[in-house]
Amino acid sequence: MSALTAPIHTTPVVTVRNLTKSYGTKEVLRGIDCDIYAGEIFGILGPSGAGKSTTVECLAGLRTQDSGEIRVLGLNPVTDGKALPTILGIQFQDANLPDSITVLEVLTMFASCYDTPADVEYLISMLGLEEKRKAPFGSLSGGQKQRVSIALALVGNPRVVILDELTTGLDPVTRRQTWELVKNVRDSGVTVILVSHLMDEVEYLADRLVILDQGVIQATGSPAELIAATDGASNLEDVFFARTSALDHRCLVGNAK
Amino acid sequence: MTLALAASRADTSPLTTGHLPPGNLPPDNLPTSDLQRTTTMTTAILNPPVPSTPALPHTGRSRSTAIRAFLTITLTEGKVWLRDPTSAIMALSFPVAMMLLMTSMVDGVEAHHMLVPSLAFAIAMPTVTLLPATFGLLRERQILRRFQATPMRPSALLGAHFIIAFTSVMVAGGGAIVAGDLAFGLQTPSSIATMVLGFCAGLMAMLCLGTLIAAVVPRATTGTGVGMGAFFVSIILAGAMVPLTGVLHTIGSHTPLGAAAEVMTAGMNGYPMPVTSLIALAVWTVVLAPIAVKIFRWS
Repeated sequence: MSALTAPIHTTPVVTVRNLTKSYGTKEVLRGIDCDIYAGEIFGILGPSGAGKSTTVECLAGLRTQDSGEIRVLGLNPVTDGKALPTILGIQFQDANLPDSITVLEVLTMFASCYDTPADVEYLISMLGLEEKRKAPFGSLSGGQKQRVSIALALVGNPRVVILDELTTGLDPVTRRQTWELVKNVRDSGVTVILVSHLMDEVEYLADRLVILDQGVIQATGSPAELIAATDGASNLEDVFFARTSALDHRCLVGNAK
Repeated sequence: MTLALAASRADTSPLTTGHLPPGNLPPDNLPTSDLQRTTTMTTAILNPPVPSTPALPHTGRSRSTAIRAFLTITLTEGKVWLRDPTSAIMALSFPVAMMLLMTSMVDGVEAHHMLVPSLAFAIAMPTVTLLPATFGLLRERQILRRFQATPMRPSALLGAHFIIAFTSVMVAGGGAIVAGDLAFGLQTPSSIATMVLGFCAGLMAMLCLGTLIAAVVPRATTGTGVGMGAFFVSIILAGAMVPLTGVLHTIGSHTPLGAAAEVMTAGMNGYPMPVTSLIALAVWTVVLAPIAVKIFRWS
């Protein structure tokens, strides 16, 4: 793991120490350490099966780690499960809701679960869903469904939000619009943890990132720092292939063809 | 002043007020109690912050939020349920159709013969078929997982669907009675109180059975399959399709729906109250409900 960054922020809102997790005999996380600072977009980049989703599920208290320690604004996801959702929102990879529920209904319903929810009408406006507020979820486009998904992650007025594979499957225009939304979320004071396997997305959005491969952090830093510190790298994709086993797999596939 | 500052920070959250500040905000790491607020602010002023994870005590949510959430979820899920015509038609029209068709088409069958079977169908359809199928779908689509990431407890969501099923049973049962009376002049039960007791106790026990299945089924198809199995076993053992005798009748009269049918039949015909069936209903309800909440799976 490279210690490349001297963080400009001083207060970590999330700390992870020596996090391990196995499913049966398969070790998915093998000692993850990282700090995430207030008001940044923190990327978790890695190939499929690297342990990205497991990491954030442990952060959100949806899975229990085998060992290691996590704190989210001082809360332990294992023991503070009731309090954690009031400060941490999560957007799930597989967005789906009943087809007949409307945008306004679903946001109002989820907002009702919180003591101090976000302003639903403001969220709808912020995410450009004004014209779809009474539209059934089943009638929305892929990009609009992702916006609803982001809105659901923000509706509890969280301090930290996890966005998991946010733009997978979206067209280029919608992806770019969604990226701007993520920046707006960050600019509104929310710390964003962005989980992705899309290099250009992380390079564009993340203030800092970790590259995760086979359950181990291979590199940490800002995109520019990582590119500068990797021989011959001109973008994050070069860094990614230099520091992970993904290229080996791809070459094998290419040779086989 | 310290408290005012803390309060103003809490009230000016950008997503609450709809106001986007120009830059990043520092983390709102202020504790909630007044004493803790004062101490923290004083400490923060006297000592510059050090790089450590700030403590942010939260206690989940208040009782008023829990009640508001429960009502909102019940109302919203109820609307969604009504928009699915299959569920609504199956739950609401089946007992009415049964009462009307069987009474008019089968020789020797009168409306009062069909009252208990119709009410048994009215109870069984929403409770053990639709409730598990609904939760299977919610689980399959990861909607329950979304709820898991909120401060809501599983009991609130189960309770909301409990009320939806309860309401649909009452409407379906009432519909069967009204239809039977309007079409054929339904005979008044010998003991209306016993009928109502059997219907309500049976409804509670069957809701608990349906909730137990709903608590664990992974997919909609599984929920439908297991629910339909439970439905037919319950209906057969209740004697709602064919009258039972001997051992099968004894077993049936201790199942949730069979015990309810036993009590309702007693009320209809003026038989003595079947106490063991009432006890069976109470036991089913008291045992199944906490197990359902205990084994509930979000995903």
